[in-house]
Amino acid sequence: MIRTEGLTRRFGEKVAVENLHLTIEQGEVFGLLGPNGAGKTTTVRMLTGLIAPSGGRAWVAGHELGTENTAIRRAAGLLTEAPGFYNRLSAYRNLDFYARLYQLDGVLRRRRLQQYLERMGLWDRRNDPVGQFSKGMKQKLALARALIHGPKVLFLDEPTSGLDPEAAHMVRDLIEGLKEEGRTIVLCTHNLDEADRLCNRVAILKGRLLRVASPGDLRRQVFGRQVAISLREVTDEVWRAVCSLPFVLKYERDGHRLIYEVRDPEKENPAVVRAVVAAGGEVQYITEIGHSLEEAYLSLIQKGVQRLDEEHTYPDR
Amino acid sequence: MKNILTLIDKEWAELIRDRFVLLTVLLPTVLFPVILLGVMLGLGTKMDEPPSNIPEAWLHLPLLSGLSPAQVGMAMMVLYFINLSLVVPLIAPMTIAVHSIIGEKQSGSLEPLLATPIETMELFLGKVLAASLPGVAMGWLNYLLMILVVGWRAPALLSRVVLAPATMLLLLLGTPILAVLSVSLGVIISSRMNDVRAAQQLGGIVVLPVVGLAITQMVGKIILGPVMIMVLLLLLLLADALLIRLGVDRFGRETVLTRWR
Repeated sequence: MIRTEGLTRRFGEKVAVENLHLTIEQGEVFGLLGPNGAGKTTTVRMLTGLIAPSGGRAWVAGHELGTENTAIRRAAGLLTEAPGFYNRLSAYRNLDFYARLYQLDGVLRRRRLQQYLERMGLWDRRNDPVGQFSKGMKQKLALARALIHGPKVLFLDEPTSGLDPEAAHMVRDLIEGLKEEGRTIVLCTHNLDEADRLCNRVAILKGRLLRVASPGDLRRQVFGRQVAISLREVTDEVWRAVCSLPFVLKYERDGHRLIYEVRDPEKENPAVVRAVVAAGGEVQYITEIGHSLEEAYLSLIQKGVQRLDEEHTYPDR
Repeated sequence: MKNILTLIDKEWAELIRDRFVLLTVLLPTVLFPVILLGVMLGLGTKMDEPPSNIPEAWLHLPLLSGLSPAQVGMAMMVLYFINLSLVVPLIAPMTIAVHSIIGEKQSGSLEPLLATPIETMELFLGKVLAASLPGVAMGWLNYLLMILVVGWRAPALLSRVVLAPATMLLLLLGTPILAVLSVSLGVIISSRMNDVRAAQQLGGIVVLPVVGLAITQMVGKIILGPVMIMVLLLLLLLADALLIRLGVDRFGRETVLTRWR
């Protein structure tokens, strides 16, 4: 549904996005993560035909960027960072304006307006000027605007920003629903918990692409799979027994816990447990240590992906 | 075309809800005829006393031959106000354009608008027409009110001054040309500024040539005939073309998103 080949954008001397290669499948929720100034908004603006790339090529919904920008804008919906409405006009009038620009005819337009205003819980306030709306209401209206023409691809920049927990939950449900409808969603967010819950895959950007993976794979790529065995006591015999296992990649003591990293815990944990017991260790319980996407993200951003790769080049034994 | 009409419809829906802009558009339209009426009513009591300070050039104008010195004085005043009223198609479109574009910049509504399939030219034309058409309508309405005022107070001046070919040319053709000039200038100014008042103050300089023309004619330095007016209008048309070109360049999606401040 979306493919980029070496997409690059420079602003003068500054390279905002460098050599971006991405493929996003239909029906996928794809997260673009990165710090401020990482190139997320520039990427979205390029992919919606708002600004031209300095290099590379891209296709959105089968249309090539640069030569078919109008077709791309017809096929894509964009939720911008700022909701941006005409404050003197009513919610209905605002939405109606955009629906007309997408060439929706009378009956369909009215049906869609009602459908999305109801879905966003704004139907009863449809005749109120948008200037009277709270930030959350404007955000919901902006979502309705992005959806009004039934786009195949949706670019959502911080969709739950400024929403109260209930409204944010509603938006997340909506995104899940859109995903089930087969729409492709590109989600720019600083809310990593949200990205973890919603995205099939995420890309970490910092000018260039640092990683693309599912949230789970990303965590595993960054931290490996760590397991903690809680013992009555971590004796030297137990420690030596675990250290001597060839498939244990990393190990450390943490009080009564022995923490180690293996590539395939389901296959290798029984052997570790056997070795611990054989060395006289008394196992109390065993758990896999979970890391949040936030931890993985921060690790990637702070350390830089190169250093991280070096860390995971395990020494030969 | 459909997108242009949709944009104009939206712009006008906003305009009628903005009392300040509406007042700025309507006030000069009625102000000039009302002031002219007041001046004519005031002068009317002194019609038998010819003004002593009528420039020589006015007294020998073929258009005004056969009129009394007092009537020539009145004609001078009427033409002064008619010329001055050319600021109407300058002020109204400038005000509308500046409020519309800076308003969009401030509310952040430009990016969602640019994300729709609307073409750059449609967007520019929609904005220009939405701002200039009310200016043209107000300019012509102002002219109509002038005709009514003069027709009521000094019918002898109707055909010689108010409905003279030079005046009709200036008011009927000059009004749309000036309105487009004003909007295009408003677009260019608004693309670089974020404060409506500052932009309006800067745009206000556009009225100076009109005021200068009115004063120059009144003191008899230059009295424009149809040929000179045609030349002037052609020059203004060229200025329009140049400003439209500059305006369209500034309305490109990328320029709006990356260079407008």
